Amino acid sequence: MSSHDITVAGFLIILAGLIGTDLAARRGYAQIPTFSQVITRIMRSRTGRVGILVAWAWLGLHFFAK
Amino acid sequence: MERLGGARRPRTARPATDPAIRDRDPAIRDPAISDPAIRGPAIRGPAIRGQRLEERPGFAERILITLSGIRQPIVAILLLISFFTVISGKPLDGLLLAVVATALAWDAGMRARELAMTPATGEKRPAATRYAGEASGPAWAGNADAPAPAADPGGLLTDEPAPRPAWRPRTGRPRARNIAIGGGTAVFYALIVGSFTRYSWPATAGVAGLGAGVVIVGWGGPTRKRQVPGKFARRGVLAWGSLLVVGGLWELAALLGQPTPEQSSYAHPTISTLTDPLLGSSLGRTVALLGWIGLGAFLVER
Repeated sequence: MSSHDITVAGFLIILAGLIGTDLAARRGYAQIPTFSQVITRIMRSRTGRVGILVAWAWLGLHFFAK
Repeated sequence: MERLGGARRPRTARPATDPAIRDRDPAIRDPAISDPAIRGPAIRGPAIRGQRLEERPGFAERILITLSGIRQPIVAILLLISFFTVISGKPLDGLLLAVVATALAWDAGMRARELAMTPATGEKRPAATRYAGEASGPAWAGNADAPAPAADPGGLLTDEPAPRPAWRPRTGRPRARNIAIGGGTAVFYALIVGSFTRYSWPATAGVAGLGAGVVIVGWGGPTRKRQVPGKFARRGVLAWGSLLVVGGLWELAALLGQPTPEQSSYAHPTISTLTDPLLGSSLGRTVALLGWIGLGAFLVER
């Protein structure tokens, strides 16, 4: 297994962890909030709200803009 | 006749400058009336105004206020992104992000300072300082039966007061017609911007314009009333927090594994490197832009 494969596998495991955590939260396992609840809670203040939206805008700029 | 009268719109209130209203309304005519229910909360005595002027922070205090705002996790995350953007060869993006993060830190620090200066009355936070959709209870959004844990370890989600939104948030889902119009516009936008070469000025203008517009909308507050979840259990914070930290560290390890931060590596690909093949084609960019817009719509609705 090359370092390329290991790196890609790591990203896939993290992605699976994110999806799995959200699914577990939606099914009511443990006391884990869903992704939507986490984002709603963070965005209830202006700092959190603008910060998250700026991070989203940066994502677009990073992948598409000069 | 009654039906006709009932269907009429209520007469629009005339401004207080109208002499006819001014003479009739004792609250306007008589400056001695100071009931906030009548006159509104804007009345402040000269002593309070003077006190506020005296309390204007100096340069050193401004720096301290800004530094105190960096304790907000989202500000710290933005500054970290800014740092890695700069070392990845995009200094302008990083600088812009740092400016926004600093402004947010200042804003958060100032509000924390104002909150600290407010005399403790033991009362609940006034409704005016909450978003209109914010619930007072700890119930979780969309899951009222779920237990509401009380811990917030590490202060990941701090209790900063939220300002009143700039507009009246909706109560329900958007209408089907509006969703169709928005979806159609998003597809049109993605097709146009996706057709532009990556990293070109037209693509930059399209993405920066939409991003700035959404951030401005977000600055005004939520567009939809929602029940805000209470503080999360330690387990929940750890689950999401550890995934965020591990993901960030994995990306950082890949970035540091490159020959230089600007030069991508096949052996240690970052997320950007892995998405290059997808974003190399017009169709791929269109799909990715639709995903980006969808994520933005999800966030604006929070």
